Amino acid sequence: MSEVFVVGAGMTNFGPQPAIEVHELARLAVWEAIQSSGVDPRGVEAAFAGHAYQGQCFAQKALMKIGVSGIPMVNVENACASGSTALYSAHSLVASGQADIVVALGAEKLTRPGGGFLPIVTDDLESSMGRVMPSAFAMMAQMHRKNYGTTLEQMAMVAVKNRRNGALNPRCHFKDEITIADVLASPSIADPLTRLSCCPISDGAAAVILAGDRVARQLTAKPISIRSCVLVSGTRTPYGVVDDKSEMSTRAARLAYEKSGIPPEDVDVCELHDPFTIAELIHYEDLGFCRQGESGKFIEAGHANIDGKVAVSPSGGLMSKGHPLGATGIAQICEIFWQLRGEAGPRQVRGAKVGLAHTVGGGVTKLEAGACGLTILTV
Amino acid sequence: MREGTLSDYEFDGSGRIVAFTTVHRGISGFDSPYALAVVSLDAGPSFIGQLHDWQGQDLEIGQRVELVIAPIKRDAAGNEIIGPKFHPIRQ
Repeated sequence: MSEVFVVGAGMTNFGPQPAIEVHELARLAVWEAIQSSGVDPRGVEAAFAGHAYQGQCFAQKALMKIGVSGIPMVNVENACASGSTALYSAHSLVASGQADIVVALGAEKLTRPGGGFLPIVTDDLESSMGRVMPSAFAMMAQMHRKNYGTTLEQMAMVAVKNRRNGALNPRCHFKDEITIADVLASPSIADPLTRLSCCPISDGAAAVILAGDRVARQLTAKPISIRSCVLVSGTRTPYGVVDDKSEMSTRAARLAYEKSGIPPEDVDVCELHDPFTIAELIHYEDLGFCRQGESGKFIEAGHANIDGKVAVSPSGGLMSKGHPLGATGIAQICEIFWQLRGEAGPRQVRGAKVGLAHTVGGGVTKLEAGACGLTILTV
Repeated sequence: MREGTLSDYEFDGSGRIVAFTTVHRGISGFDSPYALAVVSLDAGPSFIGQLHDWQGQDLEIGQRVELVIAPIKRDAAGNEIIGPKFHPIRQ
């Protein structure tokens, strides 16, 4: 087994990009990652691309733009965890010693005239009853409020914090700060979630270069080590189950902590899956940052701030950065890479040595969700 | 599952709300706002479905509901599609 490092990272700005075709977005991200790594594009041995809606042979179309062709390229899909799944696959290839330099990329173009939600999955039973993604999280929120007394204000603090962080990140979809009052007063999407409690629909791409221990330290003096890279799927549940926690995230976190030997208390910076405010609170508990039911108090105390116990989504998270599905999981790794190298500028988490990235993807009847990716990285 | 082990089972469709939300931004074919709930049926299983005739009522977790068949959405031509929904039982 080879130790696996991230040696380069790149991403486009997230947000509406009507003038740039999606493979071109991917090319921009890959090229930035390649340049930051010092890797010769001709030395790339394989590529994995994650996306949910962008058509066939995505990696081939994107990489031929930088003169890379002929090598193994694999295109993967796991809804919002597609990028994390590309990373997991790329990591496996390097860890097993089959390749020394592999690209993991993710991209998505979601904005379209008229806007609106993502297309509904017509062959899914719960979706056919009107279960759209915000409504599923709204019901989780109602249960968390009922069971633990979590307040609307505490939920809103997630959006306020992530927009405050995002205002420091020029690559974000949203670049302005908001208040708790703004969140509570914005139009209701699925009660109690308001428009500002939901992440926006965005376009964007991100890429990282992974390298094995034979080459990583020749490429850069500051390679970032992947200590564990975990992918799990939802386990079968009875029909019609909504919970106030994510069993899948808890399971993925336990596995990743166990494999890396790093406990949750040691995590300095976390990029967390926050498509809706309540999701972030629930995941504090799943990932072991606080006890079950205490996430509202955790954010209220400032523990998730950039200068808190664990800086959660200093990039601005999905909430501020945007959520181009396939790009999200890779963009998280970019942020952790920059944070652990001390290159995150005004949003830098001081002294960050341990980072964690977490995504959840897919609404599937009889599963909590489709997939969860969780990666722990260290300097 | 072994062949011949399934049989019909009739239940009365009553249960209670475990979680609910009112959806204000729906999707094509669904008339907004509509209320969606997870219902734990007295017969055992849970079901996610829309509430029927819910407007003007104070919905709450634990509230009792009964199964009805009513319109849940429209097809592309605008025709109503009926299906299982839950009607809140007034206390």
